[in-house]
Amino acid sequence: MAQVGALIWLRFRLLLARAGAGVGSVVFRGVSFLFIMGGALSLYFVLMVLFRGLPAPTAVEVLYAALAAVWGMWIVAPLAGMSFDDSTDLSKLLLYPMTPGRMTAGVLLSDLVSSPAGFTILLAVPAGWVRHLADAPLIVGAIVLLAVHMAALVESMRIVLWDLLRSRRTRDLLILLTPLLFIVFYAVYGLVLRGAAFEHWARWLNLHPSAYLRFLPSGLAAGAAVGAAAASYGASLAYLGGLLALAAATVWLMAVLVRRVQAGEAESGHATPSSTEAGLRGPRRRKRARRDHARQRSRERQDGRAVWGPREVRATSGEVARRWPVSSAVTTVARKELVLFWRNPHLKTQIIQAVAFPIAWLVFMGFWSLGDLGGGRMTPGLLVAVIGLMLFGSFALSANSFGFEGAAAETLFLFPSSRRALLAGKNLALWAALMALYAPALVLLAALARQWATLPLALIGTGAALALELGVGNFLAIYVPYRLPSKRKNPLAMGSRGPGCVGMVLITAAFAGAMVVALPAAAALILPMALHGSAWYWLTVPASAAYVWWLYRLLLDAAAGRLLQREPEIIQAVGKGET
Amino acid sequence: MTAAGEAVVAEGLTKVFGSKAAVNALDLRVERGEFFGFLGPNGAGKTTSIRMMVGLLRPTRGTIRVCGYDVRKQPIEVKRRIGLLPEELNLYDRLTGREYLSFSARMYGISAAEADRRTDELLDLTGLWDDQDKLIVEYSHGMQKKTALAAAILHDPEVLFLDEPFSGIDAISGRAIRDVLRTMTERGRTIVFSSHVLEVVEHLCTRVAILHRGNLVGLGDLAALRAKAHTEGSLEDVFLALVGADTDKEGLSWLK
Repeated sequence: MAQVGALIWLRFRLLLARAGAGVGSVVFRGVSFLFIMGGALSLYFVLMVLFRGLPAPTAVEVLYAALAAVWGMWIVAPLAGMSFDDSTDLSKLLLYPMTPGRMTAGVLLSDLVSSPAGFTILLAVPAGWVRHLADAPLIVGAIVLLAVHMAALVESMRIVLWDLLRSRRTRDLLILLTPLLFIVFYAVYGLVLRGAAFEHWARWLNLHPSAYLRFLPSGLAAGAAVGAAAASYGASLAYLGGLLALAAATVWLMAVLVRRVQAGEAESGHATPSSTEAGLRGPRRRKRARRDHARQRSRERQDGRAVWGPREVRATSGEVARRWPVSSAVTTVARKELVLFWRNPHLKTQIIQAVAFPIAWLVFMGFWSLGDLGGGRMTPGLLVAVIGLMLFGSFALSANSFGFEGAAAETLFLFPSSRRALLAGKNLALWAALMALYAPALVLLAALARQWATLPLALIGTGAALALELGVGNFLAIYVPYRLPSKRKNPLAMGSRGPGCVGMVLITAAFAGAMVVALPAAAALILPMALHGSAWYWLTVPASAAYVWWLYRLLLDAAAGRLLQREPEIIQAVGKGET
Repeated sequence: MTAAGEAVVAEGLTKVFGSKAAVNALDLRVERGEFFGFLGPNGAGKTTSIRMMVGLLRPTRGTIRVCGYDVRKQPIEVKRRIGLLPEELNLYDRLTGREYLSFSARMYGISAAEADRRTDELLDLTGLWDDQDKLIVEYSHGMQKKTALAAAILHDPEVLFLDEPFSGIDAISGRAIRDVLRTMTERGRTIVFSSHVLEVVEHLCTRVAILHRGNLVGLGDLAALRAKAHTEGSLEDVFLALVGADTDKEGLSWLK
């Protein structure tokens, strides 16, 4: 019993440990707990009201749907969490002298007592369906058995799917999906605000989803509750018996898997990397084969000499640096940045968020309703507002070029390249990445607004404003750097340090400054429109481009001169041990 | 300007964190071609000293010159001439091993063909050939260390700073790397090296500096250090004598 108690203590200690030691972290954790429990309580009350207030057939459909949703979330959420946090990994417990039974019981109980939000939602079922005192044991029993089954199923899946859940690809995918889920949340929230959601739900419930959902384990619990509420105790007991058998089978499965892990027959923890050849696919494999061949020939030519020795190195770093133009450093840095944008899910997420959130916010939070999207009500003014919001959304990236270097900033600053080239390379890559997203977004918005004529100007204007935003942002990147979420962080964790209040004010002020200095360029693009003289574009567009180019170079030179002296402070701010 | 024979000159080098001096008025001269070792217990200031010498950490006081260039005033000239293997590896772990080495080569201005050649040889030497197209994030710690070391010597630096280079590296690669480092010093390259493994330092280093709580408590070759410590024993005996380690501590009461 002491071991089971120790496992429950461990679970709570690990939950609290994630809060960190600082007062701010503890407060944040407390607020998060209240927020989550507030959401769970809201769902509890909504479901209880629906169960009690809706006509019986519809309430039954809602019960089946709600329990199926809880069942799905109860399984998916911990499995997704496992990708980022292996603190509950069973293999950590293997050193201790614990029987499989005790380990199974301890882990199961830990899971159950550390899920207050899930239980709160489930309690809506007895609160909504217990009509008489005699119903209570059946309905509460069904809920408890369902929870035990879900916890055992999750633990079993964690053991079986360990390699998949802890793989880098799964983690990357989840990091990318998280902001998309938030965007979907905005969409659903917007629909709920307009009442459209209720209409869709009512239509969906009329299709009688319970006919399909009753085959899920949650359907057995729902059947037991509905039977008990209708005083069909025989049917209720039959469902409960089925659920008991299912829960027992799941717990037995978990115990078997735990026994296998303890015996070293099943893999849990320390995922073994795939073999080298298996890890390579298509082009990489072919490239490797070519290199292997070249290496073989090179070895044959060397005819037994040592493969590598410093005597082979002919050009010293100083000599080669003088032979190569500065621009090679710009393209090298830009290429590196683009590769990392593509491969690092955190960076990809940041960039997608910068573009998607302003649009989602505008569409779903108020400017116009879904039905108006195709109605041509999007004015040129609104188009400019969307561009402005997109640029503001990306300013956190433009103004923090070194934030997503993390500890690797140390490596970057060790290179002897000119600091102008470093900044220019980073700016070039971010400009290209953002414009690759802005361009289709602008095409979409122009199509919705039927403003095709203004699309080229919108693209040119956005590109020009973004260049100046990057030019101004370089100063903030040098003077107010902060670390962006690192690769190992849970996307939902708030462990990264932000720019702080003063930093946010500076960022906002700098963005306003960037937009002000972009005004002449914007004016040059808008003026011919106001004058209805398109011939003026031949003059104003090149003039605008020349102004932006001149100002960007001026800003770049000024920032580059300051970067060299600030490098130790930037490393200190963005490094902090995480790469 | 520093004398032509000196690779690293630190004068009054001090770094204070809060109220604690991590490095306290360190005066040091490392000659060109030396294999110079930094020794000291945990928290002695070895890593802090190396980070100041390569310009990644700003000293509170004092000056550092590397190959005659002031680290503070001429950082690009210094960076052109140095290589660093840090204790905490800070690699771009979403690049493959090959991509990382190619990127490093290009950042030092090495031509593409030469970069390819050097990368091939380094991958071969360090035993990373078979894993060159895997992302660094998928490498073991030892493989990451070898990648970082390869990147540090890829441009044939005049002064190579190595902070705990052999921890986590297998014996075969360690031997190959030691041979390369020896050859580098024979060609006049300088290596400044910190390690906890006293045997490695004793075998490789021509001179050793011993730091303790930020202060330089010993400097010189083994003979000079023995004389200072009044012992004829190994480097370990010298080290323990100079840092004043308490070797008379009683063991754990419950293990008696």
